[in-house]
Order: sequence, then C-alpha cells, then structure tokens
Amino acid sequence: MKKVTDSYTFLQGKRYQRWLKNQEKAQPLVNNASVVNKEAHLEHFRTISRRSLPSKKIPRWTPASRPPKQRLELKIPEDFSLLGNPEDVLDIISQLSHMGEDRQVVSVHIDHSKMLEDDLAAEILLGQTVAYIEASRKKKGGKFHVSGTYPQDREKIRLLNSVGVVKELNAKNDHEDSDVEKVQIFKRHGLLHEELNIHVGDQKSRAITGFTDYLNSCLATIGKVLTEKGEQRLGEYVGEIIGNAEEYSGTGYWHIYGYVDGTNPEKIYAEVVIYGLGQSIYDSFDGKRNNHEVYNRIEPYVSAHSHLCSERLLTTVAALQQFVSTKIDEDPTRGQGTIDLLEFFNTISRECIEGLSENKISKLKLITGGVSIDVDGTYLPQQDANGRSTIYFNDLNVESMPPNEKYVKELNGVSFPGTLITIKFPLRDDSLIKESGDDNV
Amino acid sequence: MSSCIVDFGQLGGRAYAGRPNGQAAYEYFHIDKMMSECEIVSVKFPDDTKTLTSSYFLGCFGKTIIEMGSEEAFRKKFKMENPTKLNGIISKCIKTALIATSY
Repeated sequence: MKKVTDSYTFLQGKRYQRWLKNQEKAQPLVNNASVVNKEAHLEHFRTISRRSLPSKKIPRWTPASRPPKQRLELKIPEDFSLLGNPEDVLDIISQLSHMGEDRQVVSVHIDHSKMLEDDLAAEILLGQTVAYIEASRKKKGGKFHVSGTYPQDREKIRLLNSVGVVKELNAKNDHEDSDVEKVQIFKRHGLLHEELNIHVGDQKSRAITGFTDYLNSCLATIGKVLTEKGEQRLGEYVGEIIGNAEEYSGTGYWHIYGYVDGTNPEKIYAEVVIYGLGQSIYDSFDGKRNNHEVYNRIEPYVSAHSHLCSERLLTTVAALQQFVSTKIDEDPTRGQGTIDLLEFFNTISRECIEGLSENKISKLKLITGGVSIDVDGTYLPQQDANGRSTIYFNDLNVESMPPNEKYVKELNGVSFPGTLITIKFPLRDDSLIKESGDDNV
Repeated sequence: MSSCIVDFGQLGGRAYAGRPNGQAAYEYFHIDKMMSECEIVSVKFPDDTKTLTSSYFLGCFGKTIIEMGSEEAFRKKFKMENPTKLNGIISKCIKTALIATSY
C-alpha cells in the first residue's frame, strides 16, 4: 500500500480534478462491453417491466437525437437511493426497462453527475436493468450502447465501479482509485428449480455460510471478527429473509448482496440487500382469500382501518406479525421470519440511537409490491400479553390503531414486483463483533 | 428403532436454514417413529455449525414440541447436544411452538 503523504494527497487531488474535467466531456464508460450472460436477470427484469408500469412520468429523459435511432440521456436525480427516494428509483428502473424494449432506442447515457445520494439497492437495480437490456439486444442480434458520467463523490464512484452499472457491464473504468481494494462485495443468487437435497445442502445454506465469512473478512480490515453469537444471529436472520423470498415469491429465485466500504475505518457501514421477484406479500395473501384459516388472521385488522388506509397497505402490516402466514393452515408455527428480522434490527440499531447523531442511525426498508415500510428503531417489535411478537407501527403498538403513515406508505404509481429488503448499519455493535483474537464471545 | 440419534452432522452444509429443509430432516431421521419408539432421543448439532434458523428448527421439531405440550417434556425426551451459541435460538423455538398453539 502506498504511504499517504501531503504530496501524494495533493497529486491524488490534482488527478481527481483532471479526471472530473474529463468527465464533463461525457466520455463513454463503455467501449467494449462484452456479451453478458444474464439469462437469469433477463427473466427478472422482464417481470419488472411487466408489472411496474410507469404511471408517474418524470421529465428526466431527453432525446439527444431524432428517430429512427434514438440516443437517450438518463439524468440520475440528486437522491438516487431506495432508502430515501424509492419512487424515483423504481420509476427510473421501470422506464429504463420499457425503453430497453424499444428497438429504436440504441443507446443510453447515464448521467450521475448531479447525484448526491445513492445506495446499494438502487445501483444494483440500475446495473442489472441495463445489463439485461444489453443481453436481450445481443440475443436478438442488436446493439445497445451505454455511456455515462460519474458522480463527484469518490465513495459513490467506488460503488458504481464495484457493484453498479459499470461493474455489471464490465465497462471500461476510467477512474483510478487505489481505495477500491478496501471495498468488499458479496453476492449470491438462488437457483431456479433447485431440488431439495439435505445431503448436499442448498444454495441458501451456502449463501448464509458465505455471508458470515464475508462479514468476517470485512471486519478483519478493522481488526475485528464476528462473535459466535453474532455469526449465529446474522446467519439466522439472513437465512429467514432468503427463506421467505424463496418460499413466498412464487419463483424461488432470490438475490443477496453485501457491500462494505472500508476506506474510512471510523465510519464503516454494511449495506445488505435481499430481494425475491414474483409475488408481493399482498399478492400472496390476496390469493388466499378463500382460505379462512389464513385470512382470518389479517381480516379484523384490515376491516378496522380500511376507511383510513388501503387494503394493500393494511394486509402488508398484518402479515408482519408473528404467526401470520399464508401457510399457517399447514403449520401453526409459521410466520416468524420478518418479525425475527425486525428484532435483529432492534439489536443493531439500539446502540446507534442511544446518544449518537442522527446520521449514524441504522436504516431498514422493506418494499413489497406498492408498499414501503421504513424501520429506523422508532417502532420495534414487542411481545403482547400472550408472548406473541407484534409491530403495528403506532405509538402504543396496538392492533386497534392504524400505522403511522410516515413509516408505512403506499408508493405513488410504482411498485416492486416481489419483496426487497435493504439494510444499512454500522459495523460497530459490540454484541455482534469483537476484537480479533479476543476469546470472549 | 435401531438408533435414537438425530445427528445433523450427517447432513450437507453447516448452515441449517429453511422450513422445507427442516421438514426434510424430520422425514430423513424418522422423528415421528422416534417419538413412539425411543425413550430418549439424542439430538446433535456439530461444533462447527454456522447457523440454525428458527424456520429450520420448527420445520423439524415444531410438530413434536406441540405434541409434547411443554418445554420440560420435550427436553426430557430430546436431549440437545449443541454449540453454546445455539442455546438461544433453540429455547426461543421451543417457546414459539408452544405459544403458536394458543394463538
């Protein structure tokens, strides 16, 4: 590793300024994008295209030339994060998917220059959508040229280069950045039509093992390691989310991504995105309307507040409670996964809330179909008198009150075709990690 | 019943996750038969277990816990040998199964 001196920093700054100047000329990011084998993603984003119809138009598409061959420019907004601005992010993904099906559109320029905020989830969806379009065109013998302008923030450039659109397209990376070595990425995908075989294990189990190993390698950069308990708990909750995505989406196909940028040891965040495409939570309950054993667990809550909130939103909140599941008729112990995840989030967020500044608070967002739920530690699961864990997103945590619309809301005109959970938390919780070499759990 | 041992070390991987996998383990070890034919069942999780999820454990033992009716009765018959880090999740799962029946 190079020694960081004043002159080195100065030169880096100069190089960076020069690079930014070059970016203003909008050099193409992609010169030789290779054929991307994205069969699985292709299948996914066909689903997004079909279901997330763009009903909200945002004037960010600018035709830079006239038909028959159109070159489009996509201006990424200042906040391109699923955590902060899910509607614009999903709208962009949806519009891009539809544009990709239009053979007259032969190129797109993605302009990140005005972007100030993004997150792993948004960049993954963008990168995969573009990769899908390119793969789809190549399959049909056509071409799709992608160019772009980088954002200004180096942290965000690293995200684009290591997991976002630049990475997805194997595009030429114009930006030299030695810090990219401090970025650690984890990604695994479910297998379509995977047969159950308990002797060899499944893709989900391998992903859980890989994920905890991954976090340990991230923590090693700051001389720490997961505690035994931390390893169990992280694996447990990740396993539950993937298990839910696998079982309930109807496709059995899930994705998990982890991202840790260790450039600044004082501010190391882990971002984890897990999603499954297919049915949303509401879709899966809607298909069980005639099953009274299942529907009776949500119907009283939905009826009680239907004059205030949509059925879609209320069904989603009801579904998060313990012992509520579309398969509760098969097994009364079902309906644990989401509540377990929220309890885990309680653990990792509690320390951050107590006495720390707001920008250090962990965040979790769940998007399922057209419903978005934010979890920041304000509302947390609590056990009722019978020992059942519930979270109703209101001050008294009671079923008789509607959820706080600031935390549970319907997305305006867009939806995600399945369920996505994105979590951002600092790697600093003492109950999950310890100093490397410390024998105490 | 020739053996009254449920040894998860016989299965692939060291992350025990997912209800279908837990249910498959229930079938594989013939836990239903063990319930009727074994006085004591030894349940072993390997020392190098990475993770156990509640869905897996409940998929494998949920029915049995409900049938036994109490944590004490379940633990009397099913002797758990597991890494310490799994104590919390196993206790939680047993309680969950018992609460589920009253909801």
